[in-house]
Amino acid sequence: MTYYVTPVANLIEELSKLPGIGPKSAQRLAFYMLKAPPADVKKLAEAILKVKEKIKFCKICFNVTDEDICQYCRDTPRDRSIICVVEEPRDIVALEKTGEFKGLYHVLHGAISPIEGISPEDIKIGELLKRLKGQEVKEVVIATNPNIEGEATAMYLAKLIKPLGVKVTRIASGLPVGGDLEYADEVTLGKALEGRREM
Amino acid sequence: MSLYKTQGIVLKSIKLGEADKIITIYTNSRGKISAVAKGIRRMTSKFGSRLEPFTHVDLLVYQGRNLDTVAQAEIISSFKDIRDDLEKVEYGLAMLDLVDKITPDGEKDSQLFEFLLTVLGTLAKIKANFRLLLITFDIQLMSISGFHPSLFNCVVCWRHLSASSSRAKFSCELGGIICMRCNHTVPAGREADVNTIPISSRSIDMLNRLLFMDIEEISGIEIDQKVEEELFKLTQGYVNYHLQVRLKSREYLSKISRKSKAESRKRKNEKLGTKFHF
Repeated sequence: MTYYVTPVANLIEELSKLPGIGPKSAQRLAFYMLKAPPADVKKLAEAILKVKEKIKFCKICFNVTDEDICQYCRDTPRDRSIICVVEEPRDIVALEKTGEFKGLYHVLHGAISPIEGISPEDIKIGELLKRLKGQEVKEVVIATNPNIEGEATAMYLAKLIKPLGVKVTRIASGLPVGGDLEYADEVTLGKALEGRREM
Repeated sequence: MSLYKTQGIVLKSIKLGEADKIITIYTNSRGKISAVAKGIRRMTSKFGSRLEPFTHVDLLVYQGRNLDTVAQAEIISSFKDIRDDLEKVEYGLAMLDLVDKITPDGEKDSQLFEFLLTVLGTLAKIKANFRLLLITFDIQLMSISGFHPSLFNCVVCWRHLSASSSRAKFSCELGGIICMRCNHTVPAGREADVNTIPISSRSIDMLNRLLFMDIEEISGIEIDQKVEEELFKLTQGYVNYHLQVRLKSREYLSKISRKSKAESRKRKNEKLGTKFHF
């Protein structure tokens, strides 16, 4: 038996499909919407619909965008000789916040994962290689996550791209700023030593 | 809440919520356990690389009502030499995947734990023969887990098969060799059974050797490509039949090998093409 009338029950059911939303939080959200002014709820519904309608992947770098070519690929002052490879569109935002990178991006939409059965063909690696065919790109920076899948992807890309005569670099792994050295694990600290630089 | 100490090898991790992961670990004192590592995906997590697959760790775990939580982890060995080599990672993950799928939760088996440690140590050391190591690992693990294959007696009539009887088949279902005589008496329709695999006497001998071999001696083994191919198909079939779940890591391996085969064929053709050009 259901305790709520159908429209409310439907809303709760749909909300509880969202990541991190359990049945109780779904109920709370549903009742918030019931109480909220109609204009606010309408705005939310429209925003959700619009995202599905308007957003597509950039034809060049596969970032999310509302036009054919995304804002970074369109941005002319950017350095076109360097491409930074990331796993997810959200990673671009993280890199952009640093303000250190002025090149272009490429989003793989995943990482090679033998355990999950995700092979190189399942992510946008072929598309990256196509981009490297022209003479323009001089360097590829691999900024996949520093875990087993990200490292596997980085090694695979390096093996593939180096023979093309393009410089391949990997973002550094090391100690997080603000941390204590004694708490660093052997692998991280080892990598930090490996990648040390002259001052 | 109670705490317990153990050591184990990290088999896999699955993302949980915003910044957590559920880590599956094969421990020496409690068998396979799953525990939450809170905040592990944050850059400043205290765990760092300590709970990445392949890592041999000392653990302090909170026992929870449903899921356990990792309180502390310290690396015993990170198996860096595996993680720095893509091919070793691919084959190694296929091994961890099988351990994960074949072992029940919370069932202690220190023989299996030691075996896994030795195998990973060997994988870290060797320079080639990765696929042979996987074959050996599979057949020995199946044997440890109660699926020891019968290689010299027919599994139907139990007659001893001499080494000279060159034509035999391996039945994944019955777990061993079927002699030609029994194979003929198998009811019609069963013959084309996908669960029987033809096997040459050379491969049977090699499989027997691998089955009882000290796994650290793997680099000394010389194996014919054809025999290796045959045994790889056989062990994959055997594992898949008895597990009844898809091993994605194995599907990944076959995808990769198909691709590299196609590429080498293409290269060969290109070479031939240039030869005939002038």
